[in-house]
Amino acid sequence: MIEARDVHFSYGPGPPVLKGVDLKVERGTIMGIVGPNGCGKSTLLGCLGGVRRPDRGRVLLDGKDVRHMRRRDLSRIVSTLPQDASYGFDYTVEEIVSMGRYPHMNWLEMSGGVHKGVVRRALSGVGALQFSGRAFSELSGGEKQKVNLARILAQETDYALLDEPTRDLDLKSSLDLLDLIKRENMERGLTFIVVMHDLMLALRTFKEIAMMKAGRIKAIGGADSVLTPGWIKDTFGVDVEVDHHNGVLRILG
Amino acid sequence: MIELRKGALPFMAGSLIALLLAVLVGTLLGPVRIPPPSILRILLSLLPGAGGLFDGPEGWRTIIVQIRLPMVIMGIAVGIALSSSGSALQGLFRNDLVDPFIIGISAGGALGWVIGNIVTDGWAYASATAFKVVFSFLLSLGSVVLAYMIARRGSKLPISNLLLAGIAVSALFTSIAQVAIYLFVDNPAEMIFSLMGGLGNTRWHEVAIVLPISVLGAAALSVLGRDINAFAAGEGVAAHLGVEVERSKFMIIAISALITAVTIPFCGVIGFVGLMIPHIARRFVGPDQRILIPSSALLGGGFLVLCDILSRSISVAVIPLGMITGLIGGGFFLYLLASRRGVR
Repeated sequence: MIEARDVHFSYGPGPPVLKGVDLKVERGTIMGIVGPNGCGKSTLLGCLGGVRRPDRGRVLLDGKDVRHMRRRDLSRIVSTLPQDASYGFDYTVEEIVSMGRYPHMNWLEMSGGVHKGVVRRALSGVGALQFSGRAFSELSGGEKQKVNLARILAQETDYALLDEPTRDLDLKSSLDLLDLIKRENMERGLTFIVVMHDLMLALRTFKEIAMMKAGRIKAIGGADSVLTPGWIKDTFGVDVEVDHHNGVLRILG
Repeated sequence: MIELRKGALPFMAGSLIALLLAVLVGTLLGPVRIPPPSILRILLSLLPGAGGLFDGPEGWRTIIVQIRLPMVIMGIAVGIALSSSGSALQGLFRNDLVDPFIIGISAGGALGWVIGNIVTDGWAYASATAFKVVFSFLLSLGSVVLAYMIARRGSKLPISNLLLAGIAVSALFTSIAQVAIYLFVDNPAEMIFSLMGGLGNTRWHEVAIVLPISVLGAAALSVLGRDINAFAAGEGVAAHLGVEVERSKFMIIAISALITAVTIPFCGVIGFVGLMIPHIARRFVGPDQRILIPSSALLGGGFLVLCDILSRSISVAVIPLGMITGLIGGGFFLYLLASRRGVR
Protein backbone atom coordinates (compact mmCIF):
# COMPACT_ATOMS: atom_id res chain seq x y z
CA MET A 1 0.00 0.00 0.00
CA ILE A 2 1.14 3.51 -0.79
CA GLU A 3 -0.11 6.08 1.63
CA ALA A 4 0.03 9.84 2.04
CA ARG A 5 -0.68 11.15 5.52
CA ASP A 6 -1.47 14.82 5.93
CA VAL A 7 1.05 15.81 3.23
CA HIS A 8 1.82 19.51 2.96
CA PHE A 9 4.12 20.92 0.29
CA SER A 10 5.15 24.29 -1.08
CA TYR A 11 7.82 25.27 -3.62
CA GLY A 12 10.35 27.33 -1.71
CA PRO A 13 8.76 30.37 -0.10
CA GLY A 14 5.74 30.20 -2.46
CA PRO A 15 2.14 29.53 -1.43
CA PRO A 16 1.34 25.98 -0.32
CA VAL A 17 0.55 23.62 -3.20
CA LEU A 18 -0.56 20.67 -1.08
CA LYS A 19 -2.54 21.49 2.04
CA GLY A 20 -2.90 18.25 3.91
CA VAL A 21 -3.45 15.38 1.50
CA ASP A 22 -4.53 11.98 2.79
CA LEU A 23 -4.55 9.15 0.31
CA LYS A 24 -4.39 5.37 0.47
CA VAL A 25 -3.88 3.22 -2.58
CA GLU A 26 -3.99 -0.54 -2.12
CA ARG A 27 -1.68 -2.86 -4.01
CA GLY A 28 -3.07 -4.15 -7.27
CA THR A 29 -5.46 -1.29 -7.89
CA ILE A 30 -5.60 1.60 -10.34
CA MET A 31 -6.29 4.98 -8.80
CA GLY A 32 -7.12 7.92 -11.01
CA ILE A 33 -6.40 11.41 -9.74
CA VAL A 34 -8.42 14.14 -11.43
CA GLY A 35 -8.60 17.84 -10.83
CA PRO A 36 -8.26 21.19 -12.56
CA ASN A 37 -4.91 22.60 -13.66
CA GLY A 38 -2.68 23.73 -10.82
CA CYS A 39 -4.53 21.81 -8.11
CA GLY A 40 -1.35 19.96 -7.06
CA LYS A 41 -1.81 16.63 -8.86
CA SER A 42 1.73 16.47 -10.24
CA THR A 43 3.23 17.70 -6.98
CA LEU A 44 1.40 14.97 -5.10
CA LEU A 45 2.80 12.42 -7.54
CA GLY A 46 6.29 13.81 -6.87
CA CYS A 47 5.78 13.36 -3.13
CA LEU A 48 4.44 9.84 -3.56
CA GLY A 49 7.43 8.95 -5.75
CA GLY A 50 9.81 10.32 -3.15
CA VAL A 51 11.46 12.99 -5.32
CA ARG A 52 9.69 15.81 -3.48
CA ARG A 53 9.95 15.95 0.27
CA PRO A 54 6.76 17.06 2.04
CA ASP A 55 7.10 20.05 4.34
CA ARG A 56 4.81 18.25 6.74
CA GLY A 57 3.22 14.83 6.81
CA ARG A 58 4.55 11.51 5.59
CA VAL A 59 4.47 9.20 2.61
CA LEU A 60 4.50 5.52 3.52
CA LEU A 61 5.37 2.76 1.14
CA ASP A 62 4.21 -0.60 2.44
CA GLY A 63 4.47 0.98 5.88
CA LYS A 64 7.96 2.44 5.44
CA ASP A 65 8.55 6.20 5.35
CA VAL A 66 10.03 7.03 1.92
CA ARG A 67 12.14 9.73 3.56
CA HIS A 68 14.28 7.01 5.11
CA MET A 69 14.71 5.02 1.90
CA ARG A 70 17.67 5.30 -0.45
CA ARG A 71 16.88 6.62 -3.93
CA ARG A 72 18.02 3.42 -5.52
CA ASP A 73 15.93 1.17 -3.28
CA LEU A 74 12.94 3.41 -3.84
CA SER A 75 13.36 3.24 -7.61
CA ARG A 76 13.01 -0.55 -7.46
CA ILE A 77 9.60 -0.18 -5.85
CA VAL A 78 8.11 2.94 -7.45
CA SER A 79 8.52 4.12 -11.03
CA THR A 80 7.31 7.44 -12.36
CA LEU A 81 6.47 8.74 -15.79
CA PRO A 82 6.51 12.53 -15.62
CA GLN A 83 4.79 14.82 -18.10
CA ASP A 84 6.60 15.44 -21.38
CA ALA A 85 9.26 12.78 -20.84
CA SER A 86 11.70 13.55 -23.63
CA TYR A 87 15.30 12.58 -24.15
CA GLY A 88 18.25 14.57 -25.36
CA PHE A 89 20.21 12.95 -28.21
CA ASP A 90 19.15 10.11 -30.44
CA TYR A 91 18.75 7.23 -28.05
CA THR A 92 17.05 4.25 -29.63
CA VAL A 93 13.81 2.86 -28.25
CA GLU A 94 15.64 -0.13 -26.83
CA GLU A 95 18.30 2.06 -25.18
CA ILE A 96 15.58 4.08 -23.47
CA VAL A 97 13.66 1.07 -22.23
CA SER A 98 16.98 -0.35 -20.96
CA MET A 99 17.26 2.69 -18.70
CA GLY A 100 14.43 1.12 -16.71
CA ARG A 101 16.93 -1.53 -15.70
CA TYR A 102 19.43 0.93 -14.20
CA PRO A 103 18.08 0.61 -10.64
CA HIS A 104 18.68 -3.14 -10.85
CA MET A 105 22.22 -2.98 -12.21
CA ASN A 106 25.46 -3.16 -10.27
CA TRP A 107 28.15 -0.58 -10.78
CA LEU A 108 29.86 -2.11 -13.76
CA GLU A 109 26.99 -4.21 -15.02
CA MET A 110 25.89 -3.68 -18.59
CA SER A 111 22.54 -4.18 -20.27
CA GLY A 112 22.80 -7.81 -21.35
CA GLY A 113 21.71 -11.09 -19.79
CA VAL A 114 18.63 -11.07 -17.62
CA HIS A 115 18.12 -7.36 -18.29
CA LYS A 116 17.84 -7.92 -22.01
CA GLY A 117 15.04 -10.41 -21.50
CA VAL A 118 13.10 -8.00 -19.30
CA VAL A 119 13.55 -5.19 -21.82
CA ARG A 120 12.34 -7.40 -24.67
CA ARG A 121 9.28 -8.47 -22.68
CA ALA A 122 8.45 -4.86 -21.84
CA LEU A 123 8.84 -3.84 -25.47
CA SER A 124 6.64 -6.61 -26.76
CA GLY A 125 4.13 -5.95 -23.98
CA VAL A 126 3.39 -2.51 -25.39
CA GLY A 127 3.77 -3.61 -29.01
CA ALA A 128 6.99 -1.69 -29.59
CA LEU A 129 9.28 -4.57 -30.39
CA GLN A 130 9.17 -3.99 -34.13
CA PHE A 131 10.54 -0.46 -33.81
CA SER A 132 12.96 -1.11 -30.96
CA GLY A 133 15.95 -0.05 -33.06
CA ARG A 134 14.53 3.30 -34.14
CA ALA A 135 15.45 6.65 -32.65
CA PHE A 136 12.95 7.74 -30.00
CA SER A 137 12.83 11.27 -31.41
CA GLU A 138 11.44 9.99 -34.72
CA LEU A 139 8.39 8.30 -33.18
CA SER A 140 4.82 9.57 -33.12
CA GLY A 141 3.36 10.83 -29.85
CA GLY A 142 1.45 7.60 -29.29
CA GLU A 143 4.49 5.45 -29.95
CA LYS A 144 6.59 7.58 -27.62
CA GLN A 145 4.22 7.08 -24.71
CA LYS A 146 4.14 3.34 -25.35
CA VAL A 147 7.93 3.32 -25.15
CA ASN A 148 7.82 5.38 -21.96
CA LEU A 149 5.37 2.87 -20.52
CA ALA A 150 7.69 0.06 -21.55
CA ARG A 151 10.50 1.83 -19.66
CA ILE A 152 8.27 1.82 -16.58
CA LEU A 153 7.45 -1.87 -17.07
CA ALA A 154 11.13 -2.75 -17.49
CA GLN A 155 11.79 -1.14 -14.13
CA GLU A 156 9.71 -3.98 -12.58
CA THR A 157 8.39 -1.93 -9.70
CA ASP A 158 5.31 -2.63 -7.58
CA TYR A 159 3.89 0.84 -8.10
CA ALA A 160 3.83 3.05 -11.20
CA LEU A 161 2.95 6.74 -11.08
CA LEU A 162 1.90 8.26 -14.40
CA ASP A 163 1.45 11.99 -14.86
CA GLU A 164 -1.07 12.74 -17.60
CA PRO A 165 0.16 9.95 -19.87
CA THR A 166 -2.45 10.74 -22.52
CA ARG A 167 -1.98 14.50 -22.56
CA ASP A 168 -0.59 14.83 -26.08
CA LEU A 169 -2.25 11.79 -27.59
CA ASP A 170 -5.14 11.51 -30.01
CA LEU A 171 -8.21 9.60 -28.89
CA LYS A 172 -7.25 6.22 -30.33
CA SER A 173 -3.71 6.36 -28.95
CA SER A 174 -5.10 7.42 -25.57
CA LEU A 175 -7.49 4.49 -25.44
CA ASP A 176 -4.75 2.08 -26.52
CA LEU A 177 -2.43 3.33 -23.80
CA LEU A 178 -5.08 3.16 -21.10
CA ASP A 179 -5.97 -0.37 -22.18
CA LEU A 180 -2.31 -1.33 -21.87
CA ILE A 181 -2.27 0.10 -18.35
CA LYS A 182 -5.39 -1.87 -17.42
CA ARG A 183 -3.92 -5.04 -18.85
CA GLU A 184 -0.62 -4.69 -16.99
CA ASN A 185 -2.63 -4.11 -13.84
CA MET A 186 -4.71 -7.24 -14.39
CA GLU A 187 -1.95 -9.54 -15.53
CA ARG A 188 0.93 -8.47 -13.31
CA GLY A 189 -0.88 -6.78 -10.47
CA LEU A 190 1.11 -3.59 -11.07
CA THR A 191 -0.45 -0.77 -9.04
CA PHE A 192 -1.03 2.42 -11.01
CA ILE A 193 -1.71 5.93 -9.85
CA VAL A 194 -2.63 7.96 -12.89
CA VAL A 195 -3.08 11.72 -12.98
CA MET A 196 -5.50 12.84 -15.63
CA HIS A 197 -7.60 15.89 -16.28
CA ASP A 198 -9.80 14.43 -18.99
CA LEU A 199 -12.94 13.42 -17.08
CA MET A 200 -14.45 11.40 -19.90
CA LEU A 201 -11.35 9.21 -20.21
CA ALA A 202 -11.18 8.98 -16.42
CA LEU A 203 -14.78 7.80 -16.25
CA ARG A 204 -14.07 5.17 -18.86
CA THR A 205 -10.85 3.95 -17.26
CA PHE A 206 -10.86 4.14 -13.49
CA LYS A 207 -12.91 2.30 -10.93
CA GLU A 208 -11.42 4.39 -8.15
CA ILE A 209 -10.88 8.10 -8.34
CA ALA A 210 -9.54 10.87 -6.14
CA MET A 211 -10.69 14.35 -7.01
CA MET A 212 -8.39 17.21 -6.08
CA LYS A 213 -8.98 20.92 -5.80
CA ALA A 214 -6.58 23.60 -4.56
CA GLY A 215 -4.15 21.27 -2.82
CA ARG A 216 -6.71 19.05 -1.14
CA ILE A 217 -8.54 15.87 -2.00
CA LYS A 218 -12.22 16.81 -2.15
CA ALA A 219 -13.65 13.39 -2.88
CA ILE A 220 -12.29 9.88 -3.08
CA GLY A 221 -13.88 6.54 -3.74
CA GLY A 222 -15.60 4.62 -6.51
CA ALA A 223 -15.98 6.42 -9.81
CA ASP A 224 -19.78 6.47 -9.46
CA SER A 225 -19.55 8.29 -6.15
CA VAL A 226 -16.84 10.78 -7.16
CA LEU A 227 -17.59 11.65 -10.77
CA THR A 228 -20.99 13.07 -9.95
CA PRO A 229 -22.49 16.30 -11.31
CA GLY A 230 -22.27 17.78 -7.82
CA TRP A 231 -18.58 17.13 -7.23
CA ILE A 232 -17.65 18.08 -10.77
CA LYS A 233 -19.57 21.34 -10.53
CA ASP A 234 -17.91 22.02 -7.18
CA THR A 235 -14.38 21.21 -8.37
CA PHE A 236 -14.27 22.20 -12.02
CA GLY A 237 -17.11 24.73 -12.08
CA VAL A 238 -18.75 22.97 -15.02
CA ASP A 239 -22.29 21.60 -15.29
CA VAL A 240 -22.34 18.01 -16.49
CA GLU A 241 -24.64 15.07 -16.75
CA VAL A 242 -23.19 11.65 -15.94
CA ASP A 243 -24.57 8.28 -16.93
CA HIS A 244 -22.42 5.78 -15.05
CA HIS A 245 -24.27 2.82 -16.40
CA ASN A 246 -23.23 3.60 -19.94
CA GLY A 247 -20.03 5.44 -19.03
CA VAL A 248 -21.14 8.69 -20.59
CA LEU A 249 -20.32 12.18 -19.37
CA ARG A 250 -22.02 15.07 -21.11
CA ILE A 251 -21.24 18.75 -20.71
CA LEU A 252 -24.35 20.85 -20.27
CA GLY A 253 -24.83 24.35 -21.59
CA MET B 1 27.82 -7.56 -22.71
CA ILE B 2 26.61 -4.18 -23.76
CA GLU B 3 24.88 -3.81 -27.09
CA LEU B 4 26.99 -1.93 -29.59
CA ARG B 5 25.58 -0.09 -32.53
CA LYS B 6 26.57 -1.29 -35.96
CA GLY B 7 29.17 1.40 -36.61
CA ALA B 8 30.74 1.22 -33.16
CA LEU B 9 33.42 -1.45 -33.60
CA PRO B 10 34.73 -0.24 -36.98
CA PHE B 11 34.80 3.28 -35.53
CA MET B 12 36.83 2.22 -32.51
CA ALA B 13 39.21 0.19 -34.65
CA GLY B 14 39.63 3.12 -37.03
CA SER B 15 40.25 5.51 -34.14
CA LEU B 16 42.88 3.21 -32.71
CA ILE B 17 44.68 2.92 -36.04
CA ALA B 18 44.52 6.70 -36.48
CA LEU B 19 45.94 7.10 -32.99
CA LEU B 20 48.88 4.80 -33.71
CA LEU B 21 49.54 6.54 -37.03
CA ALA B 22 49.46 9.90 -35.29
CA VAL B 23 52.04 8.62 -32.80
CA LEU B 24 54.31 7.54 -35.65
CA VAL B 25 53.98 10.77 -37.61
CA GLY B 26 54.23 12.80 -34.43
CA THR B 27 57.58 11.24 -33.57
CA LEU B 28 58.76 11.65 -37.17
CA LEU B 29 58.45 15.42 -37.19
CA GLY B 30 61.23 17.60 -35.92
CA PRO B 31 64.35 19.49 -36.87
CA VAL B 32 66.51 16.32 -36.81
CA ARG B 33 65.53 13.92 -39.59
CA ILE B 34 65.37 10.36 -38.35
CA PRO B 35 64.31 7.67 -40.85
CA PRO B 36 60.90 6.10 -40.07
CA PRO B 37 62.23 2.51 -39.80
CA SER B 38 64.66 3.64 -37.10
CA ILE B 39 61.83 5.41 -35.27
CA LEU B 40 59.76 2.25 -35.39
CA ARG B 41 62.70 0.29 -33.99
CA ILE B 42 63.32 2.79 -31.24
CA LEU B 43 59.64 2.68 -30.29
CA LEU B 44 59.55 -1.12 -30.35
CA SER B 45 62.80 -1.35 -28.38
CA LEU B 46 60.95 0.32 -25.51
CA LEU B 47 58.82 -2.80 -25.11
CA PRO B 48 60.06 -5.15 -22.40
CA GLY B 49 62.63 -7.63 -23.66
CA ALA B 50 63.12 -5.86 -26.98
CA GLY B 51 65.92 -3.55 -25.90
CA GLY B 52 68.34 -4.80 -28.55
CA LEU B 53 66.15 -3.88 -31.51
CA PHE B 54 67.75 -0.50 -32.07
CA ASP B 55 71.51 -0.11 -32.47
CA GLY B 56 71.67 3.27 -34.22
CA PRO B 57 72.97 6.56 -32.83
CA GLU B 58 72.21 7.08 -29.13
CA GLY B 59 71.33 10.72 -29.94
CA TRP B 60 68.41 9.56 -32.06
CA ARG B 61 67.11 7.46 -29.24
CA THR B 62 67.35 10.43 -26.88
CA ILE B 63 65.51 12.70 -29.32
CA ILE B 64 62.69 10.21 -29.79
CA VAL B 65 62.39 8.95 -26.24
CA GLN B 66 63.12 12.10 -24.28
CA ILE B 67 61.71 14.83 -26.54
CA ARG B 68 59.21 13.68 -29.13
CA LEU B 69 57.55 10.75 -27.38
CA PRO B 70 56.57 12.61 -24.19
CA MET B 71 55.09 15.31 -26.39
CA VAL B 72 53.00 12.83 -28.33
CA ILE B 73 51.87 10.92 -25.25
CA MET B 74 50.97 14.20 -23.58
CA GLY B 75 48.91 15.01 -26.68
CA ILE B 76 47.03 11.75 -26.27
CA ALA B 77 46.46 12.42 -22.57
CA VAL B 78 45.12 15.91 -23.25
CA GLY B 79 42.90 14.60 -26.05
CA ILE B 80 41.49 11.94 -23.73
CA ALA B 81 40.85 14.50 -21.00
CA LEU B 82 39.15 17.11 -23.14
CA SER B 83 37.08 14.70 -25.23
CA SER B 84 35.77 12.64 -22.36
CA SER B 85 34.91 15.67 -20.25
CA GLY B 86 33.21 17.25 -23.29
CA SER B 87 31.19 14.11 -23.86
CA ALA B 88 30.13 13.86 -20.22
CA LEU B 89 29.19 17.55 -20.00
CA GLN B 90 27.18 17.40 -23.22
CA GLY B 91 25.26 14.45 -21.84
CA LEU B 92 24.75 15.96 -18.42
CA PHE B 93 23.49 19.27 -19.79
CA ARG B 94 21.49 17.51 -22.52
CA ASN B 95 23.09 19.63 -25.18
CA ASP B 96 25.76 19.11 -27.78
CA LEU B 97 26.90 22.74 -27.87
CA VAL B 98 28.69 22.40 -24.55
CA ASP B 99 32.34 21.73 -23.87
CA PRO B 100 34.77 22.53 -21.04
CA PHE B 101 36.06 25.56 -22.94
CA ILE B 102 32.66 27.06 -23.70
CA ILE B 103 31.15 26.78 -20.23
CA GLY B 104 34.13 28.39 -18.57
CA ILE B 105 36.09 25.48 -17.08
CA SER B 106 39.17 26.31 -19.14
CA ALA B 107 39.15 30.02 -18.27
CA GLY B 108 38.84 29.18 -14.58
CA GLY B 109 41.70 26.72 -14.86
CA ALA B 110 43.83 29.28 -16.69
CA LEU B 111 43.19 31.89 -14.00
CA GLY B 112 44.07 29.33 -11.34
CA TRP B 113 47.29 28.55 -13.13
CA VAL B 114 48.23 32.24 -13.45
CA ILE B 115 47.53 32.90 -9.78
CA GLY B 116 49.38 29.70 -8.92
CA ASN B 117 52.39 30.91 -10.88
CA ILE B 118 52.42 34.26 -9.14
CA VAL B 119 51.96 32.77 -5.68
CA THR B 120 54.51 29.98 -6.05
CA ASP B 121 57.28 32.19 -7.41
CA GLY B 122 60.45 30.88 -5.82
CA TRP B 123 58.93 27.65 -4.44
CA ALA B 124 60.45 24.23 -5.03
CA TYR B 125 59.30 22.64 -8.30
CA ALA B 126 57.23 19.82 -6.82
CA SER B 127 55.26 21.88 -4.35
CA ALA B 128 54.80 24.69 -6.89
CA THR B 129 53.45 22.25 -9.49
CA ALA B 130 51.12 20.60 -7.02
CA PHE B 131 49.84 24.00 -5.94
CA LYS B 132 49.24 25.08 -9.56
CA VAL B 133 47.36 21.91 -10.43
CA VAL B 134 45.17 22.11 -7.35
CA PHE B 135 44.50 25.80 -7.85
CA SER B 136 43.63 25.31 -11.52
CA PHE B 137 41.20 22.61 -10.50
CA LEU B 138 39.54 24.67 -7.78
CA LEU B 139 39.04 27.69 -9.99
CA SER B 140 37.83 25.63 -12.96
CA LEU B 141 35.31 23.96 -10.67
CA GLY B 142 34.38 27.38 -9.32
CA SER B 143 33.85 28.78 -12.80
CA VAL B 144 31.54 26.01 -13.95
CA VAL B 145 29.56 26.06 -10.71
CA LEU B 146 29.22 29.84 -11.06
CA ALA B 147 28.05 29.59 -14.67
CA TYR B 148 25.64 26.83 -13.70
CA MET B 149 24.14 28.77 -10.82
CA ILE B 150 23.72 31.92 -12.89
CA ALA B 151 22.13 29.97 -15.75
CA ARG B 152 19.72 27.93 -13.68
CA ARG B 153 16.09 29.04 -13.47
CA GLY B 154 14.31 27.03 -10.81
CA SER B 155 14.56 23.42 -11.85
CA LYS B 156 15.27 24.36 -15.48
CA LEU B 157 18.62 24.94 -17.12
CA PRO B 158 17.96 26.78 -20.39
CA ILE B 159 20.92 26.01 -22.61
CA SER B 160 21.12 29.55 -24.00
CA ASN B 161 21.52 30.74 -20.40
CA LEU B 162 24.29 28.24 -19.77
CA LEU B 163 26.18 29.24 -22.92
CA LEU B 164 25.83 32.93 -22.13
CA ALA B 165 26.81 32.44 -18.51
CA GLY B 166 29.80 30.38 -19.65
CA ILE B 167 30.88 33.13 -22.04
CA ALA B 168 30.49 35.76 -19.32
CA VAL B 169 32.39 33.74 -16.73
CA SER B 170 35.11 32.96 -19.30
CA ALA B 171 35.44 36.63 -20.24
CA LEU B 172 35.61 37.70 -16.62
CA PHE B 173 38.14 35.06 -15.55
CA THR B 174 40.27 35.60 -18.65
CA SER B 175 40.35 39.34 -18.00
CA ILE B 176 41.31 38.84 -14.36
CA ALA B 177 44.06 36.49 -15.49
CA GLN B 178 45.33 39.04 -18.00
CA VAL B 179 45.33 41.86 -15.47
CA ALA B 180 47.15 39.61 -13.01
CA ILE B 181 49.73 38.71 -15.63
CA TYR B 182 50.18 42.35 -16.60
CA LEU B 183 50.60 43.54 -13.02
CA PHE B 184 52.52 40.75 -11.34
CA VAL B 185 54.50 38.82 -13.93
CA ASP B 186 57.97 39.81 -15.10
CA ASN B 187 57.72 38.27 -18.52
CA PRO B 188 54.04 38.59 -19.53
CA ALA B 189 54.55 37.56 -23.17
CA GLU B 190 55.98 34.20 -22.22
CA MET B 191 53.11 33.37 -19.91
CA ILE B 192 50.44 34.48 -22.37
CA PHE B 193 52.11 32.38 -25.04
CA SER B 194 52.14 29.27 -22.90
CA LEU B 195 48.44 29.78 -22.17
CA MET B 196 47.72 29.60 -25.91
CA GLY B 197 48.27 25.90 -25.71
CA GLY B 198 51.05 23.63 -26.86
CA LEU B 199 52.89 20.43 -26.11
CA GLY B 200 56.42 21.77 -26.61
CA ASN B 201 59.08 20.90 -24.02
CA THR B 202 56.90 18.27 -22.40
CA ARG B 203 58.82 16.17 -19.90
CA TRP B 204 58.05 12.62 -18.82
CA HIS B 205 57.30 13.61 -15.24
CA GLU B 206 54.62 15.95 -16.56
CA VAL B 207 53.13 13.14 -18.59
CA ALA B 208 53.21 11.08 -15.41
CA ILE B 209 50.89 13.62 -13.80
CA VAL B 210 48.48 14.27 -16.66
CA LEU B 211 48.13 10.82 -18.23
CA PRO B 212 46.97 8.85 -15.17
CA ILE B 213 44.52 11.55 -14.12
CA SER B 214 43.10 11.79 -17.65
CA VAL B 215 42.75 8.05 -18.09
CA LEU B 216 41.33 7.43 -14.61
CA GLY B 217 39.00 10.41 -15.00
CA ALA B 218 37.75 9.18 -18.36
CA ALA B 219 37.21 5.73 -16.87
CA ALA B 220 35.33 7.17 -13.91
CA LEU B 221 33.12 9.21 -16.23
CA SER B 222 32.43 6.09 -18.30
CA VAL B 223 31.32 4.27 -15.17
CA LEU B 224 29.10 7.25 -14.35
CA GLY B 225 27.82 6.96 -17.93
CA ARG B 226 24.66 5.24 -16.77
CA ASP B 227 23.79 8.24 -14.62
CA ILE B 228 24.63 10.59 -17.49
CA ASN B 229 22.31 8.59 -19.75
CA ALA B 230 19.56 8.95 -17.16
CA PHE B 231 20.16 12.70 -17.08
CA ALA B 232 19.38 12.75 -20.81
CA ALA B 233 15.81 12.03 -19.78
CA GLY B 234 15.86 15.01 -17.43
CA GLU B 235 16.77 15.32 -13.79
CA GLY B 236 13.28 14.26 -12.75
CA VAL B 237 13.44 10.94 -14.56
CA ALA B 238 17.03 10.43 -13.44
CA ALA B 239 15.86 10.67 -9.83
CA HIS B 240 13.09 8.16 -10.53
CA LEU B 241 15.69 5.85 -12.00
CA GLY B 242 17.52 5.83 -8.69
CA VAL B 243 20.17 8.47 -9.41
CA GLU B 244 21.15 10.63 -6.44
CA VAL B 245 20.79 13.69 -8.65
CA GLU B 246 22.77 16.38 -6.86
CA ARG B 247 25.59 14.09 -5.77
CA SER B 248 25.94 12.48 -9.16
CA LYS B 249 25.81 15.81 -10.98
CA PHE B 250 28.51 17.21 -8.74
CA MET B 251 30.75 14.21 -9.31
CA ILE B 252 30.38 14.42 -13.08
CA ILE B 253 31.12 18.15 -13.13
CA ALA B 254 34.02 17.83 -10.68
CA ILE B 255 35.71 15.01 -12.59
CA SER B 256 35.23 16.86 -15.89
CA ALA B 257 36.72 20.00 -14.36
CA LEU B 258 39.60 18.06 -12.80
CA ILE B 259 40.75 16.35 -15.98
CA THR B 260 40.45 19.58 -17.95
CA ALA B 261 42.23 21.62 -15.30
CA VAL B 262 45.14 19.22 -14.89
CA THR B 263 46.13 19.77 -18.53
CA ILE B 264 46.26 23.57 -18.29
CA PRO B 265 49.45 24.06 -16.21
CA PHE B 266 51.35 21.90 -18.70
CA CYS B 267 49.68 22.52 -22.04
CA GLY B 268 47.70 25.75 -21.75
CA VAL B 269 44.15 26.27 -22.94
CA ILE B 270 43.05 24.06 -25.81
CA GLY B 271 39.48 24.74 -26.86
CA PHE B 272 36.74 23.06 -28.87
CA VAL B 273 38.24 19.55 -28.83
CA GLY B 274 35.66 18.56 -26.25
CA LEU B 275 32.94 19.96 -28.48
CA MET B 276 33.88 18.35 -31.77
CA ILE B 277 35.08 14.90 -30.83
CA PRO B 278 31.97 13.64 -29.00
CA HIS B 279 29.91 14.90 -31.92
CA ILE B 280 31.78 12.82 -34.42
CA ALA B 281 31.93 9.79 -32.15
CA ARG B 282 28.19 9.99 -31.39
CA ARG B 283 27.39 9.63 -35.08
CA PHE B 284 29.01 6.21 -35.08
CA VAL B 285 28.54 4.74 -31.63
CA GLY B 286 25.31 6.44 -30.49
CA PRO B 287 24.67 8.54 -27.39
CA ASP B 288 25.09 5.83 -24.72
CA GLN B 289 27.80 7.45 -22.58
CA ARG B 290 29.23 4.15 -21.40
CA ILE B 291 30.43 3.64 -24.98
CA LEU B 292 30.58 7.23 -26.13
CA ILE B 293 33.11 8.38 -23.52
CA PRO B 294 35.74 5.71 -24.25
CA SER B 295 35.16 6.14 -27.98
CA SER B 296 35.56 9.91 -27.74
CA ALA B 297 38.72 9.45 -25.68
CA LEU B 298 40.20 7.18 -28.32
CA LEU B 299 39.36 9.54 -31.18
CA GLY B 300 40.31 12.65 -29.20
CA GLY B 301 43.77 11.31 -28.34
CA GLY B 302 44.62 10.84 -32.00
CA PHE B 303 42.97 14.11 -33.01
CA LEU B 304 45.00 16.16 -30.58
CA VAL B 305 48.26 14.62 -31.75
CA LEU B 306 47.18 15.38 -35.32
CA CYS B 307 46.49 19.01 -34.41
CA ASP B 308 49.90 19.18 -32.78
CA ILE B 309 51.47 17.82 -35.97
CA LEU B 310 49.68 20.57 -37.90
CA SER B 311 50.82 23.21 -35.44
CA ARG B 312 54.41 22.16 -35.99
CA SER B 313 54.31 21.65 -39.73
CA ILE B 314 52.15 24.42 -41.26
CA SER B 315 54.89 27.02 -40.98
CA VAL B 316 58.48 27.26 -39.84
CA ALA B 317 57.41 28.79 -36.58
CA VAL B 318 55.29 26.62 -34.28
CA ILE B 319 51.71 27.85 -34.27
CA PRO B 320 50.22 27.42 -30.77
CA LEU B 321 48.13 24.26 -30.55
CA GLY B 322 45.19 26.13 -29.05
CA MET B 323 45.02 28.26 -32.20
CA ILE B 324 44.86 25.20 -34.43
CA THR B 325 42.04 23.62 -32.43
CA GLY B 326 40.38 27.03 -32.24
CA LEU B 327 40.48 27.40 -36.02
CA ILE B 328 39.10 23.93 -36.67
CA GLY B 329 36.73 23.86 -33.71
CA GLY B 330 35.48 27.41 -34.08
CA GLY B 331 34.48 26.62 -37.66
CA PHE B 332 32.83 23.43 -36.49
CA PHE B 333 30.91 25.34 -33.81
CA LEU B 334 29.64 27.83 -36.38
CA TYR B 335 28.57 24.98 -38.62
CA LEU B 336 26.68 23.36 -35.74
CA LEU B 337 24.89 26.59 -34.89
CA ALA B 338 23.99 27.23 -38.52
CA SER B 339 22.75 23.70 -39.19
CA ARG B 340 20.56 23.67 -36.08
CA ARG B 341 16.86 23.68 -36.87
CA GLY B 342 14.90 25.43 -34.17
CA VAL B 343 15.49 25.19 -30.45
CA ARG B 344 15.15 22.01 -28.48
